[in-house]
Amino acid sequence: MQLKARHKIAGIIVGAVVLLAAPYLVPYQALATQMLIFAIFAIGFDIIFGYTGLLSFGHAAFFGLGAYGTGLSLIHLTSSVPLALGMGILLAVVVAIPMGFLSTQRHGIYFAMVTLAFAQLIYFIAFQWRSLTGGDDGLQGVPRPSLGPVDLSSDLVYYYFVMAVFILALVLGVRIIRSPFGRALQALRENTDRAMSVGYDPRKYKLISFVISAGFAALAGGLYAMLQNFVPLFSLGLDISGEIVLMTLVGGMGTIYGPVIGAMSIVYVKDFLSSQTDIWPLIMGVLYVVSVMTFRRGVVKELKERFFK
Amino acid sequence: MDSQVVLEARGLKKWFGALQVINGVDLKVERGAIHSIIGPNGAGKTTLFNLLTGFLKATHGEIIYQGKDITGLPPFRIAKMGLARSFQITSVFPELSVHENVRVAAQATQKHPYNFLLNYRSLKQAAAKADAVLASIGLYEQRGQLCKNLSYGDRRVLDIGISQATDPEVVLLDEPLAGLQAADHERIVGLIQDMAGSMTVVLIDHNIDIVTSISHVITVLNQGEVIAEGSPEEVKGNQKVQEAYLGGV
Repeated sequence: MQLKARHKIAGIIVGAVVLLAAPYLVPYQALATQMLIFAIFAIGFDIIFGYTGLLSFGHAAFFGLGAYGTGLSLIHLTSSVPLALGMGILLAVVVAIPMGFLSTQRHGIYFAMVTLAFAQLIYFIAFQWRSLTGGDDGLQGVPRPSLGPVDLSSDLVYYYFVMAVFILALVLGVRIIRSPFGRALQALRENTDRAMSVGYDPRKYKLISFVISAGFAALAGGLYAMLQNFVPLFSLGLDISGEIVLMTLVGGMGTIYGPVIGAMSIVYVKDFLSSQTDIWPLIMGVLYVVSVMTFRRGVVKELKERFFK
Repeated sequence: MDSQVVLEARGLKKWFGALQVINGVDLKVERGAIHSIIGPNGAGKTTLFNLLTGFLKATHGEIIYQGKDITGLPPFRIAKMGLARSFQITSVFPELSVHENVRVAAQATQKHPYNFLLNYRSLKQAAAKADAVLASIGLYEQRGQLCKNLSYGDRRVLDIGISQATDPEVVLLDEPLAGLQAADHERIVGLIQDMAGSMTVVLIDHNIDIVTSISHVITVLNQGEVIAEGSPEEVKGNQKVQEAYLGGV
């Protein structure tokens, strides 16, 4: 598992160059921003899925709640970007607590079904509550105010703002999994009975992990709302819930960096394919199947195994 | 309250549906003893352990540990009070390193928990405890390996090591010799005797020779009831035990 220091430094340099140059490497700047937004989402999702071993099929709920919470705050309440993002996170966390409390009483597929059901419930609330959310027209006219002296209205400047948030999220994610709490999560994932028999309360740990991952998802959602100046109803939908699972799987669950790479590549490939052909969902499907079959443990783990051993 | 008794079951009963597995068991474990529970397959030994450690809820009766009623408490609460266990089917953390298997158990006893920004390596006590336990169970050399790459015997030993890492007052070992070759028996027996120096050991096993040679007290369970209890000699000589279990040794 341990990479040599040399590899680590090389990785950091390559990562920094890619991050700084990304807006110039992809067809349009907002695409690079979107890639990082989903990478933030994936960091949080890896904490619940990769490190806690709970497959949630409802995390679009938190992405969407973050987007609506941030969007509505910017429209009605505040022009402070951090405050609006904070409101989005708060909204998601407030929902994640009861949702996590109920769903973590169940295991495996039942956990997935409960999260899915809750997410659908929230989707339909947003769909029906037109006066607040705009229903299936989405929430229109989300402003992107300045951050202090920094004008975020240019797509390039906004990219670098999201990049800074992404780096903070990545550092936070890595610290969480390396904390005693993160270690306990991995023990619970490996063997719940054993972890319980040495004194860990599985429900408490799972719930906290669930809420943390919801917070990351909401942060990503809030940034997404500001990127698009708009919150589409599908931000709460099933597709997003499924996509984040695939991004994490393809990149390699339980590695943090893997899901980041998975999320960025999938957003990129999807954009590229959809600009080329109408049958892009079919091609994406084939790509998913192939990548899950060849990189069974995810791209990052496979590469580590093959080249750094 | 008898201060010599560290763990006590009173009138314990457990039904699985219509099946009565534990049928009114009374048990007193004395502090510092090696107390073995033997009995034929299906006697209810593992079920009894699961009741004592909170993994199953008793249908009836109560469990007293260190003078406190722990009936119905969840397993992690009971573990925190110093009652540890190992499992009949080897129970470890396969994808974690050998060291981390023990360290994460030791960590559970420390005050740390929800500081997300603290690096786990800064919990020096837990790491040191893990090193000490690994040295005492003879797995220090393998500390960096992934647990899943250990031999079966080593994993069995590690399972016991995890139970020790929390510094328990009482440890319940569920068939620690299960599936091991005779050559490995000595190693585990040595471990159990080491542990007995600093904690109370409750042991389930099938191997009569070993059980009678190391135990202070033996309780014989048959069809969910205690049919005999006493020193190894008393139990060996007991008529009922010979009929039910030893087959007239």
